Amino acid sequence: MALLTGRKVTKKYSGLKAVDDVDIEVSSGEILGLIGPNGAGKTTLINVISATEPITSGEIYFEDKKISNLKTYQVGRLGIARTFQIVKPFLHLTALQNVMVGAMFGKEGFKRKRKEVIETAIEVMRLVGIYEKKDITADQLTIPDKKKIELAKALAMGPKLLLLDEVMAGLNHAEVNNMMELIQEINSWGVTVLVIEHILKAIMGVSSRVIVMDYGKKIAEGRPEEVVKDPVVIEAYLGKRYMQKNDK
Amino acid sequence: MNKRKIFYIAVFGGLGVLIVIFPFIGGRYLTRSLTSILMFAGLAASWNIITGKTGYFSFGHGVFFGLGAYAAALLMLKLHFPFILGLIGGGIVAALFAFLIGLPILRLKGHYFAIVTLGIVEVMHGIILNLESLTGGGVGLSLPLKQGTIKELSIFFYFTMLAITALAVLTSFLIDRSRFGHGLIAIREDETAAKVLGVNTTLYKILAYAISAVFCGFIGATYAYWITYIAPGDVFALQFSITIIVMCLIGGLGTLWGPIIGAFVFEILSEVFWSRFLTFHSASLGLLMILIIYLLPKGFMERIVSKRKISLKGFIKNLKQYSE
Repeated sequence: MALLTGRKVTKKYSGLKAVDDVDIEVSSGEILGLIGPNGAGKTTLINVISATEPITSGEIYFEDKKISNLKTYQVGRLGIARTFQIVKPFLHLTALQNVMVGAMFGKEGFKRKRKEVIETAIEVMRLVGIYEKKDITADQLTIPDKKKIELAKALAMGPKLLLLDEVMAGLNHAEVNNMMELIQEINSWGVTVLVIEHILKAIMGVSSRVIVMDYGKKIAEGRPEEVVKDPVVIEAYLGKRYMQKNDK
Repeated sequence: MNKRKIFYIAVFGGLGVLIVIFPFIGGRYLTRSLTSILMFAGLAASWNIITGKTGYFSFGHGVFFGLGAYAAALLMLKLHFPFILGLIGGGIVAALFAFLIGLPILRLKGHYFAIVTLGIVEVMHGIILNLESLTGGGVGLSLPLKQGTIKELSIFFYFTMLAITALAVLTSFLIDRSRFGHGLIAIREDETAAKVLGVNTTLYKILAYAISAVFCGFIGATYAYWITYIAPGDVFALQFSITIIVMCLIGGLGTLWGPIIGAFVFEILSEVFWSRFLTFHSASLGLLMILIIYLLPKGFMERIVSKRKISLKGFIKNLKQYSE
């Protein structure tokens, strides 16, 4: 069943089509990867889905409800959470307070009492592995920790669909592996994940399906191991050297 | 319970008792001064609800003070309402105005919002000045006098101001603990991130603006009845708006007690400078404000909370940090 369906999704910036007529379907329960070179329109697509930016044309449905005309906060309350590539923590709040705000709003937050908010925040922070830093204000945290806060905030909302925009960029090898495991664990509780990633190894490892974008258009879609053999994808994104390396 | 806790309870309890018995033991001059300080403390505390929490810098909170004063005066003069209804009316008018004006202007960001709030005071000043048939124009309005001895009157206005200010601080405290308050702080820290989490940012900002305006309206209404005469040039003076900002900055922007501490520090310093250096009053007070901002960029509350030392080294550091 499709959890999210986008039809002819288009986002124009004064003439430039950052997202051009993209059809996208995210199935309930999957981890869908979104890859492509810089400037391909991946982040813009996530911005449009989460209503962070208004759509130019096309329609997006979430659980058969049209969401492309909704406001950002309404989309958040329906159960779509996202992280930002350039992280947006609440800098003057502690890590715990940051996550608490997530736990107070979102899809589930309005039902929670103060005690439950704190419990949820702590639980999510333990899971993401940032609990030890709970009393440090966000401006004192390193980038990888800020990324974890970003993820914890989104998770605390209790989303059905999680949009991750390059959560692994800037992490070291071990941290990338950790993050991959974490994404799979989140997914195992029934959260559908759409993940933008540059680290191809990571995306191949976690996602069951990938979409490749270039110049705002969707150029390929399918199982990761098939997509990387697609000549169009190799030409646009991976480059010939990737093929040669893999042939050896 | 540790020593520090007992110390704090003793200090605050003592101050609380002192504030309550003050008008009965203090002289008329001191009671009047303290009423005025409480008035500014209340205005600063209500300003803090919108600007301290959401980060939307309002330069024109005097407009709600003035509207409250005029609404109360007109209700009491034209409709012969008792003061309590005039007071409530003043608060409602100010809040309604904040709500309606907030709908368009709270969509503006940063400096644009600040400039517009500045303009609104002047526009309202002009409107009240020119609605002569209703407001008496530049001549102003004289309110009905409250019956009672001078002592009774000074006690009445002292406690009215104290009650409104206490209510403003209590509201601020309750907001801080609520979901609403966390939403407001999320808006201040990063509005886009707040929206993504599901915060209805526009609604929250407008509500905070209206709540903030209610108390300014109450205080304006009380001020009008207290002083018994209002004119557009007095109640819409830009100085009200600016003074309360300075007070919040001195005390600590966004903190619960900052506006109160700031109001006391500012007013007491102002009194001292009046009596010592009459000719250089403004200049010396201004110089002192600059020093305070440099030494304590986050206000006195930060000094109390973090026990940061006031030192030359800190001064130089701040100077470097803020003069880039």
